[in-house]
Amino acid sequence: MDEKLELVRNNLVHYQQWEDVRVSPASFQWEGENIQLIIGKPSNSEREECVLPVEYSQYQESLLTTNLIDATFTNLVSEEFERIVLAIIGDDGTVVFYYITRGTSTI
Amino acid sequence: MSTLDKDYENDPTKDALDDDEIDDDELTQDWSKIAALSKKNPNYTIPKRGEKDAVIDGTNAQELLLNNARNEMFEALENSVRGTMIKSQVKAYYLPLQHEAIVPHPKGNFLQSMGKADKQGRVFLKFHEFLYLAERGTITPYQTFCIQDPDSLEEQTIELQLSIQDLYSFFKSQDESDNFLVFAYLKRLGFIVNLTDSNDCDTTSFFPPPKKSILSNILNIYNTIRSIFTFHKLSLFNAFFYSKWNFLFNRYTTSGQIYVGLKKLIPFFKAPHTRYDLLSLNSQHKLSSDTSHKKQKLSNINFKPLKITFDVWKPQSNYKKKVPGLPDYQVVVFNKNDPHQRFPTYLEMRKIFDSLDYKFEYLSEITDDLSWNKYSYTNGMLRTAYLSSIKAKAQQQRSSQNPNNPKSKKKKNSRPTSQFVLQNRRLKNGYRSFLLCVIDSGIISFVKISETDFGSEDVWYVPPKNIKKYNK
Amino acid sequence: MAKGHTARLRYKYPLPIHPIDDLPDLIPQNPLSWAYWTYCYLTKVNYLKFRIPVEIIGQKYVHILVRNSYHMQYLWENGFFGTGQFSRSEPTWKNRTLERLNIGLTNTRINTLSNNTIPETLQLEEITKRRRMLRIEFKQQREKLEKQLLQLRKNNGSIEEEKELLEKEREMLRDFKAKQSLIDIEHSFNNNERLEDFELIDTNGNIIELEALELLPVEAIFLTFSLPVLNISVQELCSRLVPKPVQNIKYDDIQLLIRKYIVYHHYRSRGWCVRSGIKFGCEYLLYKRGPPFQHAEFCVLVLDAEESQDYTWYSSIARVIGGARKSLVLCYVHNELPEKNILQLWKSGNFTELFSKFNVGEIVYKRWVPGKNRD
Repeated sequence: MDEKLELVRNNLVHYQQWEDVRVSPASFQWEGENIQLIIGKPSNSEREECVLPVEYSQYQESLLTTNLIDATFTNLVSEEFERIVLAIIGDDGTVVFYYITRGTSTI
Repeated sequence: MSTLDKDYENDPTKDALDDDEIDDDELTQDWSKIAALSKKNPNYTIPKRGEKDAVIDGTNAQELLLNNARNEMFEALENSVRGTMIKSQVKAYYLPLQHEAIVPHPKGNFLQSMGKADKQGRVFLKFHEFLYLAERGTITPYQTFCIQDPDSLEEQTIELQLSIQDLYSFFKSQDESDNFLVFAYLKRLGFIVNLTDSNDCDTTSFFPPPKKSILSNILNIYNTIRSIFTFHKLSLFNAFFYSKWNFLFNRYTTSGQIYVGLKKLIPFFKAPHTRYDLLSLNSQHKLSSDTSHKKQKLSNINFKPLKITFDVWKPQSNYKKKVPGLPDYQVVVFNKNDPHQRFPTYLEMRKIFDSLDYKFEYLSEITDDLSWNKYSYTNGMLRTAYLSSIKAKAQQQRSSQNPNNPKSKKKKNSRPTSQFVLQNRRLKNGYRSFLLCVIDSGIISFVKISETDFGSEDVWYVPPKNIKKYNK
Repeated sequence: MAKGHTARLRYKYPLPIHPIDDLPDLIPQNPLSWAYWTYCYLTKVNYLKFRIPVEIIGQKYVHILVRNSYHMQYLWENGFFGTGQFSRSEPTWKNRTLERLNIGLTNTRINTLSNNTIPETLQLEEITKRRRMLRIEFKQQREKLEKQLLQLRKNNGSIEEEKELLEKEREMLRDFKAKQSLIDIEHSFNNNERLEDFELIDTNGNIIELEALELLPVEAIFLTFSLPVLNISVQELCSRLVPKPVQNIKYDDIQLLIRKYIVYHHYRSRGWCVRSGIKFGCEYLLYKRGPPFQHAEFCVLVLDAEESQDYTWYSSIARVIGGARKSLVLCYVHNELPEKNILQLWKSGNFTELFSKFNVGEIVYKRWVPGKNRD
């Protein structure tokens, strides 16, 4: 399991106190990095969430673009999930979480 | 106005915004108040601003609300009366060659802050002043034409009233139109606005005229040499701090000493803190031809450099049109949509800082508004001297400055402010500053850009001596 | 070492290198005192008796970790360096988990607890948690109400009914605000040992130290280059941060790192405690003495002196920071040397000269509202 998955997984289990946290096996490559989801249930909710860990560095270009998010929704997120949780890992290990809702489809 | 504020207080989204910078300036007019006045349907009220839904809910309730609000606005506008009385009408004639207007029989309060009079008592208005006053209805715009009667071949002069659309078509450039937008916006709020480049009045400057004495030349050379050391450069001694023997040989008995060693590594741009700093900086620039901004890569030719466009004064009753004094603010206009303009880089900002000439309110030497006369120069002489020389009725004070006026705002130093508060103020408010006016498709917002100087302020904690006693 | 100190004493030293402040008193007339003082002066050093080892993981995106709990505490208490991976800032995960699982109250001496007094850091985490839970509750209730409102609209409900619902919403908000201000520390440490928690406990029944202190790359540079604290050389650190063979390094690979370090050093060396600003969308937050003392007042963004962004970039960040009642400082770095010289200095490891070849300048960016400045 690569570092970012391990970090976010541990964060969710031991800090955010999520339950039933597991790494989803499906993955795809994006600009040389491996993109994978973590699925789990937050402690105060009934629904499960899909978490997408992304690294962020102060001094390097970030992978995070709307195209990446689009590709994630297309390739990894199953239909039942309306949104994903973006887990941005900062340089100092802080993880900030944001909800990203699936866009409305255009005809 | 008070009822509007109360509505704002009960607005549930207020906490979501929770920002006290959203103020009456930004709240769009609540037409429901005016609609209520028209008494058409007193039971029907328009929902207050803020109760909007962000999510598409598949109903057209939102659209209905919007339409209703829009209709109320149009109705309120339709029924208002606009025009001027013949007796008080002031005519102004557009002069296409000069792109200015002439007012042969000037009268009205606007003359206090706008226009330039000639010896015959006629007043000339700059185009933006002309358009502004015409829009407000203060003056009526005309233009004279010479026409030749085709039959009698006589020449006749007729005057035609111009419409506002006509006036808007006379703009010569997008820049001029942008500048007008800013001018009108600030004027409507009560400020007094002049173009920085205008030659209509005797300009006042913070900086004394260059003197030609030997002493001042020596002083200038001295200052130029000093300017080389304005950036605290790394000396050999300081480099030792970063070698592996530093802590072997040197003993540091306070944390402060360690910090002093650390802070000498990286040079920084020091801001002018005092009046002396400002004056010596200025004389250096007059000597050298921009050497402090050397090493600038050839700035992209595609971008126009921004410069100061307007001098702005706060609303005051004793503004002297011919000898205004130092402005309270200086405005740089920036059109976001113009592909040839870009947000200023730091080097461009420094150029602007160096060309600023206004009331530098951060100077601690100057404690109240009136003292500015002692620190500025008009037409080559100290302003106090100049004013008395032209026998201006300059001793009228602004009503807020009148010491007998209970609302007078003189800076009272009743309690000495602590070092930390002063330091914080210096850091937060900075030193020289200008207002960047950003125009985005016609929407105006202002940003105050001030140079600040963290490099000059030491903030490390110095523990009181008695802490040692509690050490393990 | 009793940990009942107040914050002032616990955080006495602002840097990991301590000054020699316990020299004996000097009595001028007494020559013995002179001798003793000189002896002390010569034998004491500022040097740390130990160097802190770090573990660096990752290839492209590296994480610099300190695992030893004594070292973690030391770095935090002497300048607030680093962030606990599973904590808000100070690494308190272990103690909080011990609390939560009720382990080791008898065998391991938890020095943060004595007579049921809860230390400040745990209190703060609890308070934040409670507040967050309350907020979530409120959001859920609000969502319910919004759904009701939508239903009403779909069924063409009357305006009175709509107003009723809106009034309910406003009442809910008032309740919520009242509750927030009443939060006190009613600790309910449920003994909820979850399945996942068993992976934390080792064979002896003690908790595994899962949390490490993570340092920002610029902090690590500061703690090797400027102050000798970490057990790694600057060259080795930089070769991990820019993981390319030296000959292939281009200016673009290092320019951002250098710029970020220059700004970090600029503020640190004046006494500011500089921390990551990721939670506010900026580069750095400046604290006067440290996070436990005051909220940060300044948010710093780092730019090159010749850089210009789209106006939206500045204004959106300014809004976020203004909303948090902080001041936005744009810090510009201007290089005095051409790019190839800088690259050369980096490759040869001459960091002292490299960092001194940049100038730093700052401006404060603040929204100006004409209506409020008419005086």
